[in-house]
Amino acid sequence: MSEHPIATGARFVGKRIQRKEDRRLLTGRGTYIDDVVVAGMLHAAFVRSNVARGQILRLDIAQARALPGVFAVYIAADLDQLGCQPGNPVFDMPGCPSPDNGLLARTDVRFVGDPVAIVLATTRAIAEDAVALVEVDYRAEAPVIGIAAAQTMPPVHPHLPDNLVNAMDSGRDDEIDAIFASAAHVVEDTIRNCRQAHMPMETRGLVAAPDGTGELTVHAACQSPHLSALHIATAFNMNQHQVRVIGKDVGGGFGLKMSPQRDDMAVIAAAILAGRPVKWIEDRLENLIAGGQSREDQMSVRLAFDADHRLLAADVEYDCDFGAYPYATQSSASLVTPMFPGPYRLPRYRWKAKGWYTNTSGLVPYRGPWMLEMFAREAMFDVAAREMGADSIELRRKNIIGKPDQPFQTAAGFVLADISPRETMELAVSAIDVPAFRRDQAHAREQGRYLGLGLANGIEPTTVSFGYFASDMAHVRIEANGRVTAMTTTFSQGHGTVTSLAQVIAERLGVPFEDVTVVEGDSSQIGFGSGAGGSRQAVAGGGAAIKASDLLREKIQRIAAHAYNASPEAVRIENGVITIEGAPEVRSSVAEIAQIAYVAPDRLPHDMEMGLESQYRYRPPPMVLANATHACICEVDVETGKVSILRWVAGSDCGELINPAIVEGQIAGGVVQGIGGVLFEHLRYDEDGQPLAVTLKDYLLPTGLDVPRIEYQHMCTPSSTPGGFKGVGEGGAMISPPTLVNAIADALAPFGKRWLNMPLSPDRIVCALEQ
Amino acid sequence: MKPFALDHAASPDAALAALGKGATAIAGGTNLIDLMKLQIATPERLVSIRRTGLDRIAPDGDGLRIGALVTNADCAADPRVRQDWPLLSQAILAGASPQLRNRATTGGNLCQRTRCGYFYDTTQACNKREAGSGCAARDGFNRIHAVLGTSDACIATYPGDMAVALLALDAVVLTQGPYGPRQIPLAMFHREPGDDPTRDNVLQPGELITAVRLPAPTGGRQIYRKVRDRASYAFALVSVAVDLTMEEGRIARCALAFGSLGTVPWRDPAVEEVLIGQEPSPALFARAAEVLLHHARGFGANDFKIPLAARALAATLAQATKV
Repeated sequence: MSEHPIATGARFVGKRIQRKEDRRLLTGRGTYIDDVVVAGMLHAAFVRSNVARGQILRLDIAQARALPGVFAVYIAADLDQLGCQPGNPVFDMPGCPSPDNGLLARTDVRFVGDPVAIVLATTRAIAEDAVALVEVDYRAEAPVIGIAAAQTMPPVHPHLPDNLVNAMDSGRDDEIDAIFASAAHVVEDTIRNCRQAHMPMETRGLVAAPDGTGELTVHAACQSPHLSALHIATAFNMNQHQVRVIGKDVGGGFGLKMSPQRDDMAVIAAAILAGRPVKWIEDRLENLIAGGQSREDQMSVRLAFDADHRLLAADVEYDCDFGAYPYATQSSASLVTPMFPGPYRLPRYRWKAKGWYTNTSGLVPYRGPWMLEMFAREAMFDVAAREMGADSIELRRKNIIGKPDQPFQTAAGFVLADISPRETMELAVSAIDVPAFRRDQAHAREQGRYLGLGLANGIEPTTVSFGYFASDMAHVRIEANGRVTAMTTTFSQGHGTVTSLAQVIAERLGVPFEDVTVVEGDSSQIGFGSGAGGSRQAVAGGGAAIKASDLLREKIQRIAAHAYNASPEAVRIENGVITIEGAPEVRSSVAEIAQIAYVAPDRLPHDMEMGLESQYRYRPPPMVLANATHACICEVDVETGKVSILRWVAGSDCGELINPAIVEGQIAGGVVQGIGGVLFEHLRYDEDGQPLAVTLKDYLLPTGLDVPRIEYQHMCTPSSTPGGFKGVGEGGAMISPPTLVNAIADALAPFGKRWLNMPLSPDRIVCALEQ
Repeated sequence: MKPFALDHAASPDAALAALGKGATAIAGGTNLIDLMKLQIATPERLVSIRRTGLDRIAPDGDGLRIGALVTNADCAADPRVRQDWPLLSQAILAGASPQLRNRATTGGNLCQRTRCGYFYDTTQACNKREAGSGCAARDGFNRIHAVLGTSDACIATYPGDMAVALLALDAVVLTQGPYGPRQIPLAMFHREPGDDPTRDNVLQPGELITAVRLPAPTGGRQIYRKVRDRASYAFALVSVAVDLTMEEGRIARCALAFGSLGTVPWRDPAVEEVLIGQEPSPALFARAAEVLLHHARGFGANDFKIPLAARALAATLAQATKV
């Protein structure tokens, strides 16, 4: 698993160590954006469009500007002076820039929530009052709402020929039609997701503070200070050193805070124009209508099976609603079709994928943005099993890849290696005790109670290392007092990286866990790294931490060997204590070696650099795969449509676990978000483009009473990275929807309908039962 | 939120005096503050009635007198309520969250306003918020809206749970006002919208709820069943409150009230008449549902409430009549 033997007896990796940050966060000592106060700070509020599409006929800011306490009201023409390039230099598809209508809408608005003016005032309350005094007249036009409308209606962005964001396909394949024509079984359906919000507890927000020298400090609720700084510097054509982004505590990101969006850039522009620090913290209404959305996508799936229920071919068409101003024209939603084959033998595969602009809030990657591949495939497997009269688990057994089958190239060209889909499935199946459940189910049905079992398999591509995501950096130093400070390019929005990386570093160095402090969250420290995104921090950050620690440990060994006249290989470092194999009288410490390194150059080996620090920029493999099988048992009340989840088994293989508690927290968080998507969460629009979920009473999140206790089952197939780690951040959010939908469909199987389209709320279930 | 002045009334009389001068009463503030933040309510003067001493629960003959300022949490936890009027406890605990129930009061809960999304969106037409502006909900997204008691002007539901239980329990609202005290049966307290949806209830300007009186306990089987999107902290899609007594295999006495079905907490004596004296059976429950929903009318997204109410009624009656 590791390239170097570990020179320590104490293992911290793999332990459920209490997170270093918990006490501070749980006792209210966190510092979030709204806690940041800068001298002379103004507060921003946006004037937002209340029509989905239309021309701005009149925009009158005179009254707002006259309100006492208002510093400035800026419109598009004001911010345009700065020449900000609001596209996404990091994630836009080459040759396909994000649509540009200014940081504020110039002549027309393109979704409800589109910002048309920004008010700066001495308090947020005054800024909001001023917003109410801005008069805007629109000539409303028929908006493009939904994928079907996008295909036929005039373009959302007038400079574009149509509403197509991007289109890809696997190319012509006539043979596949012949396979479908002659297959023993063909099943097909269209699976529709429903639009969801990221819903971090802390909404978007930042404090932008320009200073007199042309430098800019931004306190940001972000996922990566470095990536945000790069994006800001590029957008405003500044030198990188002129932008410093500081992230302290962030109340959740889930993709929403990858790097600054248009609204964030508008606040920065306003601060630069005003020459004053400006705070903006989004309220929940803004977050729901303009913060970004995800999961508004659909997939038509056809599967062909032979008479023995072996998968012969799949033919899928994927469409995704990008809204008006997506985070970027390239979305990790483009992983949907490549990942669709999943952990199965699929001999033949044809796909098409398209993205569409609509007059709605923009698409922003949300935890497992390509989730529909897993949902559509696993839901359709259950549909196919019911139609063919097969057992859904047996059907999967016939087609799934196990460890002996690897490496295995999927129909989409990915090579599956170091994963265990068949094995986690058997783990989950045995944890559930399927025969016992089927007996319970039959008995319950006799009493008019409807229980169901759902299962889903999935592969999670983690640490996808492309472009700016190709490397991460760790700088580890042992201070003159022997304590360890590590600066990393990871960044936690609840991930616990300051704990898990401290475990890795303490173990590799051979020092007490308590002696290691991990510092992150400041783009002015160490070099570039892209922080949280794509389930990458354990692998990329952990790899950098291992490499840097190993370099440092070797230096300690060399210094100790020189000081005690031994060979470096004989030097043992355990719990901060240094011993020499074969010289039991020697007992030194890391602190003593640090003293030598910093203040006694004469005791160092000849030509050795002073100090005790190391730095490593680690490049992970192009992609590290993890896999999981989840299974759940639910009961559906067929009188009133209520779904209760009775059991949930999460069988997963994410390689070597650094901190199982943190891993399980990641799985649980994702599962809960997926359950929310199946049962409650829906960012609806009406046909006029008005958002219908504008508060948390319209957009329901799961509560503690709606989620089950999760039974975790871990398997470990190490990855080929230095620590054997894999990512785990997104899988739970992708695999839980098909798991639950399949359980509901199984419960209601006696009613003979398909139950695929979310949210499966009581009214939908009752209406379907009534038909 | 607009700036406002806040006074504290130390007694009911002081509160009434302040109300007489145009102040708006605030108790728990769990609804009013939201309305003020959204500038749907913009009172210039508030009078807090939290220190008026109206926060006690006391026997009242064979019944119980619940002060207007008794919190939902205290009311639901009161041993007398739990023993003799369990329906009320169940209904309160089915609503809101512990934090809200610790703050929300008995009187304030009766006065809570609708959760119609168009009422809360000042860019949309709403006759309840602004008389004569129209009703965006009729042709809009009306999933949570009423199917009974609607008018051309308004289809918003009364959203609460507590009042539904109180209605089934024949509670009486006690008030003080410029014209003296009043005793308003709960069935008369809330107003159907008709052509003036702005007034949700019959309280007059300057009138203050002082208490709610429960009559003597019936000793019946009491069940509150709430159908909602999630297990807690969600308004009802439909709720059913039943207080029922069986004698010799027949329904001897029965009170039924429904939440989130009508524009007001809904009770229909004709439904109870169908049931009383009869042996329980699925056919009987279906007939009761038919009578209840005979005049029900859906507006599209809320059509489901009609079959859902029939199912919820049947399920609740089956439970309440089970031997």
